[in-house]
Amino acid sequence: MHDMIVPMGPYHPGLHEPEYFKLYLKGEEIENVEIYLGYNHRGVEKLVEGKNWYSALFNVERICGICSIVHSSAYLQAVETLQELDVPMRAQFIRTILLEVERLQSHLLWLGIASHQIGFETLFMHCWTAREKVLDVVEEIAGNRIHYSINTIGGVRRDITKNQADKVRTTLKSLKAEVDELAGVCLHDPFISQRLRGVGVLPEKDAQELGAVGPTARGSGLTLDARSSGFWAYSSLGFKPVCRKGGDCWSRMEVRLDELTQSIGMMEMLLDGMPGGQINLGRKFIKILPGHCLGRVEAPRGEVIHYVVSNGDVNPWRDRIRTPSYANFNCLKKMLIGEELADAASIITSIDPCMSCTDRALVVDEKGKKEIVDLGGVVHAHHH
Amino acid sequence: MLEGAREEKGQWFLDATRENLPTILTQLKVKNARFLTLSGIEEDQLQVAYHFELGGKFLHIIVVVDHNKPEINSICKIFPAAELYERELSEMFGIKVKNHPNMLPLFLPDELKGTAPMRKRKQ
Repeated sequence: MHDMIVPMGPYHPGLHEPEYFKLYLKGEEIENVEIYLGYNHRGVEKLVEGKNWYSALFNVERICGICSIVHSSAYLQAVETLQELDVPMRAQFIRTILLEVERLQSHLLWLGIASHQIGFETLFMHCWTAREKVLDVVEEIAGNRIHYSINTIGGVRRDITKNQADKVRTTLKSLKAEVDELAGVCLHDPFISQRLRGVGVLPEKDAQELGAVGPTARGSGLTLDARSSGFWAYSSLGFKPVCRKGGDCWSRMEVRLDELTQSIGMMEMLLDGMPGGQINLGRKFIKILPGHCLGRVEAPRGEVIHYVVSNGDVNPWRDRIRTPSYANFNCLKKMLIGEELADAASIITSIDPCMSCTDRALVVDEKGKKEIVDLGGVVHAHHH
Repeated sequence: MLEGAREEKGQWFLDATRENLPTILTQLKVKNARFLTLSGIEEDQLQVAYHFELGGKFLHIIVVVDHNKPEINSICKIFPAAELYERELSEMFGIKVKNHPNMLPLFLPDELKGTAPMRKRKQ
């Protein structure tokens, strides 16, 4: 029986996004956890039903700041398959480069936050300084630092010129040296090792049953990676997912560190092997052919799925969004129970939760109109 | 791929009923299919689509739900990963999920509980 209940969140210095964990403690040990979500709930799935295909693209990109291009990419995979479009190879390469850039900046951000959780503030600052280099690369290619807004139906909106490619290559070289140094610190520091080894273990069988994805799954021995299917330019890279068997916070950190180096290598290969040609199909698609289709892309946190339903009209009929943090939340309870309170923040951070992604679901808001819904009751929906 | 599944644009679809769904899911479990997610969709009929990855291909199992009595059985016994998605389905579409291990609202704030916001409204 628990001694006390400690509320963690929704606003807590140990968490970088709002979520509420009700921790049932016996002494220092966590006996049970109740997870409450919905604090970043903005209504994206309902919102895109009222937009046209291009506005929906921009809405979907803004579900999350750190995984923005993955959402637009998964959405476009589904839409372009429905419309049976042949996206030009050059556009596919540019999209792949940006997916890898996003992985770089997300993992560096995560590394900073994870160090902050265990009190290693210096490492936090150094990781985020390295991340600034990556954001410079993004700004060079896409014009923006956070939301790239570079995808369009049938390709991309901006090209990578030779000058830009050279600048990116130079940045990547210096970034590689910095990443190696940071990885060296993380892997050999005895303090980090003590805080992360053996903490928050997720056994392989549980990771599989509970539907873990991304580095959370790969840290527990599963070789799950959407990039293995070879979509877009990944088929030309000979990609193999990084995997560890430990299942603890340390393994998940090792996976992300290796992926940083892997991503830099992939970007260099992509820049060198970029084909010529068009960057998009040069026309707008007002209506999309009817059907159901699933688009899947590997975000820094795992696989992102967009299941798009079109009825042949100018608006998406339905866009079901399943984000990786949403999938990994199932595993948190298993990881937290039996651990100590002091490790709770570290464990939660190790799955790299992105609440903006998890809560994206929906809101009932008809602007200026009151509405009567009858499903076993009469309820007036809110309006502003 | 499963018997009776049809292919559209490289992805596979199978229509199922509430009654034969457990058999189909057990077959998928034996074949090591990976459960991805489930979605509620309202076209002419109210549907629940279960998404799987089987042998590198996507398989979508679509179950039609009765508009007047929207009910479905939980698949958590076969695929425990479905727990959070079924909670979301129940609060967003008003579909009752029977035998769910932990049926609580997930995302909606208190004032919107019971309103099934994702159902289409008649304009």
